[in-house]
Amino acid sequence: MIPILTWTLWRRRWSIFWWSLGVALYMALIIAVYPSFRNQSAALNDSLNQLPQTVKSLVADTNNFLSPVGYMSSNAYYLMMPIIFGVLGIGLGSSLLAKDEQDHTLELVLSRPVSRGTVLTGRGLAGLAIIATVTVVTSIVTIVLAWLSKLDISALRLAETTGMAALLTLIFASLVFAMTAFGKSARIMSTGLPTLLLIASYLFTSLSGTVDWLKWPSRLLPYHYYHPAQILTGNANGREALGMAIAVLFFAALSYVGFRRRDID
Amino acid sequence: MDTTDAIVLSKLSKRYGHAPKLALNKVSLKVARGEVYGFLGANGAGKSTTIRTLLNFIQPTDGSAAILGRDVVRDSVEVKRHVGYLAGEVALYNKLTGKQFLDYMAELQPVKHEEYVRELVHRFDADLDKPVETLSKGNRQKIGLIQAFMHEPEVLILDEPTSGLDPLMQEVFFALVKEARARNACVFVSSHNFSEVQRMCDRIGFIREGKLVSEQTLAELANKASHTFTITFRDQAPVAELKKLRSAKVTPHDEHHLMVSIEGELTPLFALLAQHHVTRFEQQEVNLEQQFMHFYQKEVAK
Repeated sequence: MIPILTWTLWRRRWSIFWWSLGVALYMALIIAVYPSFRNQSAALNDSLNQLPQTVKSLVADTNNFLSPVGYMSSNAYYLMMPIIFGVLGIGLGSSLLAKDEQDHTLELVLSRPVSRGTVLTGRGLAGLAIIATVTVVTSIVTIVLAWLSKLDISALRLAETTGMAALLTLIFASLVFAMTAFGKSARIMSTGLPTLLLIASYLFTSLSGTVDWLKWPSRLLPYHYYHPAQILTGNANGREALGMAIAVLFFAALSYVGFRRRDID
Repeated sequence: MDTTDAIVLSKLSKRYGHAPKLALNKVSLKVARGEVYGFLGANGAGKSTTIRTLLNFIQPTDGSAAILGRDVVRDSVEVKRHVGYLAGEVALYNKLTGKQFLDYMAELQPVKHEEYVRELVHRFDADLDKPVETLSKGNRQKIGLIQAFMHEPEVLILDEPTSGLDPLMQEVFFALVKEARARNACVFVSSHNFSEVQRMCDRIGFIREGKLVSEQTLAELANKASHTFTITFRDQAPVAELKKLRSAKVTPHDEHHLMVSIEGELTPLFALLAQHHVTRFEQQEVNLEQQFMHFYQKEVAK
């Protein structure tokens, strides 16, 4: 498994570098402009609070948009971070196994004395390592810049929130991975369906505060359990994180079931 | 692990999804250690399906397959410790150099002798420093062959192995197959190129529409093949007498010259010729491909 993991990471080293740099730059940009808003936060907050609740709920999970927590939640963690990590995760999930299968390079690996479970685990762990690397780099850059910009949020909370955003998207990444593990017919939907689910999950959860009938279905979706503002204020919910981790493990197990005995295309 | 038969297929069948026809239909065959077995058939006949089943890329619908006495599905990992494989369309990681690719393969399946890998690279004159995507088909094929041979497997399963190789490199490949046979390895070669198979195989199986329609040694095939001779007689050619010979086809050129094709036993022909003054006798090259196709068509017609 180790060679599969290390070679997969090595082959994607530049992708890891550019993703880390890109996400770090985005966070740097967001934090760098915060001091300009901070001085006018009271006035701006009043204006933003005039917006309808539906619009506000689409932007952040807090009404105080220009407090340090509200600013980071609305500009980075609530929407943008899941989207950015989502693109990374869904892209990874759809390519770690499926691309090699389409290119027929998967056969080369499977012609060696390695079990399918080993190949699957090696590829899955490589995906996890890539997301973890981007998450760690993003966390470090965010923490350093937040400290330099005197953003009043602790390093631990910033790291926890970045980690939770990554965990949220890992659910979608592992879902895509599981779908590709089941073969061609599932692979056709493997990018579209999880992307749709991610968007629906965000919309349902954001609007469930104002649209009553969305409350129940939103509970079935991962976004419902993602509360960046809550984590940034030090109220992280360990059970929600555990639930997300269990969902990831469930999809990982499903991948094994799908890939174990099926025909390679 | 030591059994006489290196590869055993027992009524192996494969149906893809809900396809009405079986891609493999109860194929049974055995290939011994130290034997080079040619698996011939047209495109889509079932050659690659058989190979992909042997490598456990696809699951058999029915029947079973074993390599070195182990079931290819149940003991897949153990089986692959002893197998070298070359795909019909060699697909390598494009961004890796040949060396990086071979290093990766060697990490997954350690080689026995590093110097043997170096020897293979030297014999194939392979360029290992360039990214695979910049290499020609022939050069990619060389790397594919090196990775199949480099761990000195006991069973080699090769799908269209000479595809894209120039004649010089084909000679290197044929020599490697000969060496593999000499160390008692079994070589299972799929091809639609008869001359390639004729060149290296001990035995040939012909597959058509998923069924193994014939299995013969090269010697048997040569015996069954028709022999063609051009004969010059001092006097008038005995056309009528020659035509009476069993399975003989006679084509007179002129009063003294003729061409005769005859299948199987040649003694009656020589007995007849002994009664005449033959001034020139030439044998045409035996075209096994033609004969095999002729035989195959007869089998299909049955």
